[in-house]
Amino acid sequence: MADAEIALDIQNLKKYFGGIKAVDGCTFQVPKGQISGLIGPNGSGKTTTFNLLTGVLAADSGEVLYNGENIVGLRPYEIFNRGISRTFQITRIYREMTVFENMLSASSMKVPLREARARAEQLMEFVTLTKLRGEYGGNLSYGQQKLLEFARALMTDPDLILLDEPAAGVNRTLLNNLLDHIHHLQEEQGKTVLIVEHDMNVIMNHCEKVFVLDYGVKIAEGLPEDIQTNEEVIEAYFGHK
Amino acid sequence: MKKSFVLILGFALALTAAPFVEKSHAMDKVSLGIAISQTGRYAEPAGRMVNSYKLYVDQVNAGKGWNGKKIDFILLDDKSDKQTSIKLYEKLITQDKVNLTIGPYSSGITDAVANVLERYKYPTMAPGASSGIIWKKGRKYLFNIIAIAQDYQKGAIHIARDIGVKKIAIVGEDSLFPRQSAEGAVEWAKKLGLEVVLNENYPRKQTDFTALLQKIKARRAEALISNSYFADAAAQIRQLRELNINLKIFAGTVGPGLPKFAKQLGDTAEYVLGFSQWEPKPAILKRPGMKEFIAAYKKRYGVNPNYHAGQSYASLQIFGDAVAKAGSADRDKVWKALRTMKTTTVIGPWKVDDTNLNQHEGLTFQILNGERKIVWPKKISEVPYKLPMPNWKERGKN
Amino acid sequence: MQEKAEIRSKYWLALFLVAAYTVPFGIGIYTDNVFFDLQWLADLTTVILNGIMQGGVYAMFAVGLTLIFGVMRIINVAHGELVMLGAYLTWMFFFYVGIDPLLALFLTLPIAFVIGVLIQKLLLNAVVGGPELTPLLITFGLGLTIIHIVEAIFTTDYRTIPYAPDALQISESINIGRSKIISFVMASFISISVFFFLKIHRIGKAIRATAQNADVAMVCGINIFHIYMITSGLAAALAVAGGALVSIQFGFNPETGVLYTLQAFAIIVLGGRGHYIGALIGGVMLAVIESLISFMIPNGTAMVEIASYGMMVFVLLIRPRGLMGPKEN
Repeated sequence: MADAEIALDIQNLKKYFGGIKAVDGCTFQVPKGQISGLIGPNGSGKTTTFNLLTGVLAADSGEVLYNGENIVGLRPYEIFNRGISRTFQITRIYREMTVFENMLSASSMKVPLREARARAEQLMEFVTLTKLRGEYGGNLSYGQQKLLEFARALMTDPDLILLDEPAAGVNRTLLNNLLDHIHHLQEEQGKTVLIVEHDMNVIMNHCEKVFVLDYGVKIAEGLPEDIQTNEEVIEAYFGHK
Repeated sequence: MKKSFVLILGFALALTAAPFVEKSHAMDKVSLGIAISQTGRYAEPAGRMVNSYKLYVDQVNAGKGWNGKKIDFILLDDKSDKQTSIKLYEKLITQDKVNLTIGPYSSGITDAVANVLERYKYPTMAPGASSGIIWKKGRKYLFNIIAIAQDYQKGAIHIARDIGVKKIAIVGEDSLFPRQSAEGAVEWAKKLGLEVVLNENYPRKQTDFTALLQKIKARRAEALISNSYFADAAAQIRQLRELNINLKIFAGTVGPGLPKFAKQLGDTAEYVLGFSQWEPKPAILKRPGMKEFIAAYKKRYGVNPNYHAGQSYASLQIFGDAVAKAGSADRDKVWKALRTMKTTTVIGPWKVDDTNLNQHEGLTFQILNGERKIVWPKKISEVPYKLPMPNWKERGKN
Repeated sequence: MQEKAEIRSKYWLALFLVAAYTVPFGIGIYTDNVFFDLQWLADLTTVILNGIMQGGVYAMFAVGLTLIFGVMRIINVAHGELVMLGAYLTWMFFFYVGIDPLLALFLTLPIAFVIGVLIQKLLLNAVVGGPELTPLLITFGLGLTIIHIVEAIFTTDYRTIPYAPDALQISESINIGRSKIISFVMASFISISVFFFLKIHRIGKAIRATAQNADVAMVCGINIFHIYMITSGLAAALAVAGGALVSIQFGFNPETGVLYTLQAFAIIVLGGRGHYIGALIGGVMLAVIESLISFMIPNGTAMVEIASYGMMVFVLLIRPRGLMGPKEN
């Protein structure tokens, strides 16, 4: 595991909002072909990190190497087109477009329409949304929206998938369903997955490696069981005493 | 924004000019000052007036002059702006110390400048103003020459009565000049016993008149008296046709008088009535000196003079007569002469009443085969009018 | 709670609109402008039909404004100037080259699209996503510039294009101008085409996706700057098409664009900012009520503007989303 290939090499990433150091020199390497977790207390900079990785926010400094290329400074769609796809903490689907249209909207214009349609059908099948293909996004239940967003993130067959709190607001059955899909992607297709999650069960049971952020800095990384007993991590979560 | 810019420019102009203009005019000359729009939105009609002024001055200076004195003509540009105009007349009077002044173009600017002229007691001809209201303010020094707005529809309403129209609708743009024209139309309708079934205004820039015209139809009006400019008059006649509303008379004011009215509207413009102060038709109007004036103007400028040119030439003729009668360019004497004298110009007889109003009779024309033909007053009509207007369905088939 | 307020505002808006449409009739009866006979009903029908025809054209260019607002959250106050520019382009092709005003669309629309793209590239890209005031000022300046350029070339004279001057007789006493009908048909055709383009075509979908959430669109691989350009081009084309259809009915001069901007604003506020179908419905509704006011209220033509902007203000107060606009978040 130590010599696992690196999918994403994050070096000294920084993002300040005025005086607030949201991400303050964060460095870690996401191993390729694995499911990794990114945890930390509220406000530790997890979502900001995701936004920096996907270009939604522009980093103040630092590097993110993906396939040997620094993707800091690229536009979100450029990063997306290089094979990095994401979901959001609170689902962001197009509420006034149908499920099918939501799916198609994430396909590149360069892909022939027929191919894109076939891919959308396949993915809807995969997340069991085929029956709802004509339904408006806004009419779906929260869990269904989550699935839709997940499926949409897979439209271009990305190599790296960033999931922002997939478990939030989702019932057990659906969550297990979703996690099955994630495992399927990793095991069958060799995808790299990075999950931000509050639900420790998800992290402990499904991630091979965990990174812990606090105040915008990585304070620990390692196997889930090691992290559980790491003193710094416990201190970050439960305060200094 | 534009206005304030012009204003500042005007100030700057006045300031820079100030130290240099302490000119003293030689005793052997009569200086005649005017500020008129050579640029801006009034430039076109005002330009024709300037043409006439230059023509007249050159003619007089080549001949005997005014009482043997040559005219020194001082021409300034008010940029079609009221405030600039006021400044320039102040300058003409206090710095250039001109002997006499002529009024600017447009009723609005004339009304504003009149106060300055009144204060300095400058007898002034106002060929550029047709709003009757200007002479209702007890002014003594501004002299009217042309028919006032209140009389623009006089002919059309007479014709309406003559062809048996009982109900008329009066519409007009919501601004000073059309309102006065409408006011006069209501008066004339009352005098001639016509019923005004609708009297409404519309905002400037109105382009869609369909609902208004439909309302006119619903009110069973037989004639439409439209106190309008070009764009609105053109839109109205066009939309009457689109709605297939058949009226007996459509009478505009200044719009139909423009050559582009008939040109742009084609056969839709046929039978429309319009008003003009004057037309360059010496054979019909038979005013003394008219033929010569038209010939000289056409020779110099390549086009026939229109009424703007006619009335401005006439106003200098009046001034010339007044100076002759007064024996000098002394303003008090000239003023007395203007108040009492009677004369005839290229556009007709001139004599003012107590309020300085001249009873100039304008003329009503009809567009027939794309040409403006004088149809009223009868004594100077070129052709008999062809009214009521034929139905739209019967048009365009010949 | 919020749901309730939402439903209540919907009822208030409906009530307001019913009242707004009733008022002209009330005043009309009170002032003897309503006659209870067949002839008057025919006149009323004519007026309403005319309003609908007119509304169709207004709606079409209002859609352009709503598209830009929807996609970029930019209020383009130069939109009416593009309408005016369209009228002049059509006029030029008609008088100098002798091309039929409708055929000229094949030339004017591509030109308009390029103009729109240029405006986007040179002006709007720099300010999109920033404070809302900046694009407002920029487009305001752009509008003034267009007015002055057109004024310098064509003067402030009113122009008209004589086109299909006659009436189409629908019944004995209901007549509608041919040019109006032609304009309405063209406007409907163009509006519907654009609607289906947005609905079905992939680029159309990308435009809608960007309008709904530009951030998501970006992380889903949509190059939103391409979408901005296409949207601007499309909006300019709609404006210029509007200008062409206006030019065959009405006179125009460089200043008429201002009126069309205001008209388009009133329409998209009523219909719901950013909503396509809302703009179409709003356009027709606004034009019809304007016609009714002009037809039945004494001196109503002078009140039309007050009425339509009054309506805009009321809609903003009662229900800022308008008829169909998306919820503010």
